Amino acid sequence: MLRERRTAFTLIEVMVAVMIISVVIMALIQAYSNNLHIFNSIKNQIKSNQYASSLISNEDYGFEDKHISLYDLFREFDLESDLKMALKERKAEVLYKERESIDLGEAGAESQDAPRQTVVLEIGSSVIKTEEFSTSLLRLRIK
Amino acid sequence: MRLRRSAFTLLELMISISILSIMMIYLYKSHAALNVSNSNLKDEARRVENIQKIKKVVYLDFLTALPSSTLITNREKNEDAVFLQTSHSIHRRFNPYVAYLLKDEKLYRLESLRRIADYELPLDSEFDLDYLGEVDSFRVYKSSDIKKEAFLVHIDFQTIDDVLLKIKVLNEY
Repeated sequence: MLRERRTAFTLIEVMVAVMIISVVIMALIQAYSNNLHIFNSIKNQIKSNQYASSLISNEDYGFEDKHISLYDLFREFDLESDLKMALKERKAEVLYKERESIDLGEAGAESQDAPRQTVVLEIGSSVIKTEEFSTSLLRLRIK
Repeated sequence: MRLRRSAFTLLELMISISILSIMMIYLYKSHAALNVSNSNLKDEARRVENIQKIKKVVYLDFLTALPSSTLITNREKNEDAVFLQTSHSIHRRFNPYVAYLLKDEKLYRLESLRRIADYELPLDSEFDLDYLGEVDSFRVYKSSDIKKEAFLVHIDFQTIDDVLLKIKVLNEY
């Protein structure tokens, strides 16, 4: 008896192949979309990093948790009214977290009469959080 | 005896071609959209890179400014002219004089070995000019705390994100 000889694809095979290709393309587009999301988040991060500069040389904020407006971080500057209003409207939260504490031992120990003081280096991070962004700064405090 | 099948039928071929054509149309659309999107992304990346460069230059200029060398002149509500001497140079100069000036809503950075202290520049001035971008506002505020020399630079660009940087001068007395 002559067996059926198969030399070409069936319609089902072609359709399955097309479906597989579609799924792969969908996955590629999805991957691209993820890249776009990552790019946007990096862009926002770069934009918001500048607000961390407000904590530099700022003894009033950053070492305790506080609810403030962004204007409070720039209070030492006599800002023009539009900028002042815009910053006042943006509520922020400043959070401090201690990362590491290094005990450097006793300072002034070489002198018998001098009062003994312990020097501690504290490494922490201050975070500024608003509805749109969050940025942080590593800080070093000598106690 | 069973029928021997060796190729597609015309119907199968036509259905396949139809499916493929529809797929090709969507693929082409997707590819075109991807190209446009890539182009936008490239422009955006260039803008981000540009703003980072500007921030870096402004930050280093003020950070390494020589003590009490910064002069801020308020010209209009949204316009300051700033003159300073700094240790930072982008044109390989030693302690150059730098000025940030606004002209026709365009912000320029001038760098020279000769002192620049006035908005109206003398005719024999020699300087390098860098264009920073079109701005709606350029203001520099000095800290009211007399114990430290710190500045807040606010540049409101027209096409890119605004810059708001607090800079504490490193070489203060």
